[in-house]
Amino acid sequence: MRRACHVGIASLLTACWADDAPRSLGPTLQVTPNPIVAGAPIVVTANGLPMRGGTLGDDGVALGGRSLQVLAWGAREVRAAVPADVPRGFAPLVVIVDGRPWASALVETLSDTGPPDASVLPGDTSPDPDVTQPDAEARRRFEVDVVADPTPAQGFALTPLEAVPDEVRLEARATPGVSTWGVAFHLVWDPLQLELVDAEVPPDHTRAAAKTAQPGRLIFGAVLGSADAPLVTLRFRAIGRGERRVSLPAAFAEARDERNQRRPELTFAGVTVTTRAAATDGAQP
Amino acid sequence: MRAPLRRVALAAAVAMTPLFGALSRASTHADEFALRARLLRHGGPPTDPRLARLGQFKRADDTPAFDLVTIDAHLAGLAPDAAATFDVTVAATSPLSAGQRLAFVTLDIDVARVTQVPTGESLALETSEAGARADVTLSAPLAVGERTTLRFEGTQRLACDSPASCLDLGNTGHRVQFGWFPASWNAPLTDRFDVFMTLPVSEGLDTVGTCAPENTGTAGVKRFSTARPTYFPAFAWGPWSAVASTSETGAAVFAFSEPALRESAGEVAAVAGTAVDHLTRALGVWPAPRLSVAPIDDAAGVALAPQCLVLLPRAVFVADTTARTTLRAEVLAHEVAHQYFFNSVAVAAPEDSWLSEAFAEHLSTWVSAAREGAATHARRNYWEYVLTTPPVEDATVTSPLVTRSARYFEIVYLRGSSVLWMLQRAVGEARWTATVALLARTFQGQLATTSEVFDLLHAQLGSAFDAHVPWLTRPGFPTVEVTATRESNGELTLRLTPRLNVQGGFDITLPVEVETDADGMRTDQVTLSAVGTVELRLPQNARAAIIDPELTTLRRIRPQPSTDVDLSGIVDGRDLLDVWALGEVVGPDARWDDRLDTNADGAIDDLDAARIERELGRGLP
Repeated sequence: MRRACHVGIASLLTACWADDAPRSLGPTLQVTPNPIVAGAPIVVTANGLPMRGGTLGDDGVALGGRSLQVLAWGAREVRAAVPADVPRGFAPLVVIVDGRPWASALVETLSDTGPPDASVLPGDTSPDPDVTQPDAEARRRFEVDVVADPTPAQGFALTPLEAVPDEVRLEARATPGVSTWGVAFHLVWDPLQLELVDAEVPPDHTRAAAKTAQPGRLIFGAVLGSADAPLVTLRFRAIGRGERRVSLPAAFAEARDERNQRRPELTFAGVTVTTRAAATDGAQP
Repeated sequence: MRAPLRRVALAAAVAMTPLFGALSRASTHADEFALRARLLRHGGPPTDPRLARLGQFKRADDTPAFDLVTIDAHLAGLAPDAAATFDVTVAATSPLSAGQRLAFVTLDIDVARVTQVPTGESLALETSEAGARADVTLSAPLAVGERTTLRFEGTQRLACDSPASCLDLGNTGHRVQFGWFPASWNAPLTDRFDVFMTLPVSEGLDTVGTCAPENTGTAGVKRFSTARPTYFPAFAWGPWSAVASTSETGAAVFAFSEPALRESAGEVAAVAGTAVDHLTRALGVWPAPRLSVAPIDDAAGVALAPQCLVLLPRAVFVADTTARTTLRAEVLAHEVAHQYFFNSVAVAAPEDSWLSEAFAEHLSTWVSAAREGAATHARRNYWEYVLTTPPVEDATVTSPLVTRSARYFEIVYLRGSSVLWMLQRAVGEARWTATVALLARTFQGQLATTSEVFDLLHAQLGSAFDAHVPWLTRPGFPTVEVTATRESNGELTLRLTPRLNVQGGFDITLPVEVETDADGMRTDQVTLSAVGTVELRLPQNARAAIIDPELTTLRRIRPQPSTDVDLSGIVDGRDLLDVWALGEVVGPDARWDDRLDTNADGAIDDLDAARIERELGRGLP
């Protein structure tokens, strides 16, 4: 089975299969991150969510009966701030439109503040990207910097490709001299910083599958046909500023030998992506 | 070899023809499984009502004590209704008075009259049980230990109603007949006896079927005898020569064939000798003074193992494909094992048939494991039973009703041998081998019953055996649903829930192997009761889990969702690798892995991988 597998642009659930396109299920809320983190912003997405301008009126978002500060309200998504003192546990998150509950979901809140690399760059005072602006031509531009982790002695690493404005291009490949039967991993990034535009698995591999299972997570598995070919090539668009990790978490990454036995000596390395608002006419970053 | 009463039902015999018609095709796994089942079934379930009647009859304990010592049969020919004379020598084990009636089981023999030898005095005779029983009244008393010979005259019904037990193609043929049966109710487990049989055989044909051949000195007359007690005659003839060999342990093995099959005969002698050697080394003694293997017509449809003899259908004898070579080795080992379990440790009742078939098949897996270096044969038996025996068709291994089940082969041969394999691993190979050797010695030359064997195994193995008894005394097995949940803090929780089926619930203990980041593998034991869910919380460094990979108990494992095959809590690429690594497996196979059949269609293939691909990411917190 040789095929290239493309992951489409910005779909919440896309895959390599034509019959697996996103389906409209009514006002179902998608909350990112999930679980949500007290003190950090969330993005609530829903098909059919009415767009709002600068005035929200009777619209809003509530978590556990408590109104959240709405940062932006776009065509299909709302960004909101979760107070740091929201109690840990499960609570209903309700989107209110015209003063009435429009859709709800049960979400879990974590009280910790997340991994260190989730912090916003110190000194960066540029405003958040305006997600309420649907016009791509007017999108904010970003300067992008990618720093790869030290390459493991044996294993697999994300490697930055040529620099393209506003984009991050990476490929995952084996380190020199490493050959193994199969590889599986989760590739995780911050969906508020990067939007996956495209993921391509070269046809060199015997079998392969990749799927964006949720915003900020690509699940990958392959039986390798060539040690020289990249496992997957990824193209992201920068949509937010910050310094974040694009990683292959060890808990979900493993290489297997011909007997399908795990090879723990083969490790996985990611990259750190820094995005800054680019200088525009009359403005300073 | 099943008990002598295991005559093939006519319907089963008819089914043999297409079976061997299929041999000319390229074989598939399914063909080979079906063929093996047919070959080993030894004639299929005994639908003959005489069997059940005999089982009750034998245990009625309503006859005085005597010991049947020898039967010397003289057949006038090979015709199905040949006239026959049987000189039966009995010894009194308690004082017998004049007028005492002695009961003889004379299946397939029409007894016309009985006389005293050598006086020729006619004795009172009453036949009953549709000819299966002959009661003879003694005319003189018999003291303890004293012997007398009675001459039964009548017709040996060489009932060629089944090609499995009787084929006469002129210059080739075979007979595996019903006949005399132990009939001393006071000592039913020790009443084995010698059989001698004399019959005319055409010039130019060789005849096998003896443990210790005798020359009558008369041209055209063969005399067969057994060196050890037995209770039915079996022999085959053909224009043969023999490849004679001596196995490493000193057993004499003869493979008979016509000259064109001499190369195959050499292979057969070597394979049979290897099986003899392996079992002799394991069990300490080889119970047959010689072993003959001969080809019989494919129309027989079965392999047979009378005493000192193995009869193989010609297509299996020749084994012209790799798959057929494996089949021949497994069938030969099974039949060789019957020299222990059936011909030495004998059974007489339907509910005891597992002592013959399950043990013979289990010993065959020993030979296969030595040859292949892996438990491939035993694993295949396990899965063949589990995958092909629906709960509603299951039956108890040790029930007399099992002989009437359409799944007799799967239940008695495959489940029975699988339970013995489970027991072997539970107590350790050395201890188990010693126990089986003790069993073979204890009941050597005797009839054994299930309860007696249970007593011996309990005495030797204690609670380890007791824990396995339910697998022999009740049908069915549980299906366990397992849900893995990856908590947001990284903890992995397994929830195991037995699914009820028509046989009700089971109490079982399952090993759960957990793969961890730091420690590699660790194994937890989870005990499930008939109903209810057991929750197993695993540490944060647990990556995945697998339930009972070594098949230590009869069960099916169903991950929920089915696509989380590695029970990591998240459907991802690792599940795909597990399915891809196995390749395509259709139906019962040693490599079968229940959890990988995500769509439960009996095949592990691309459809299962596609199902996983569709659900990638399921379970993510």
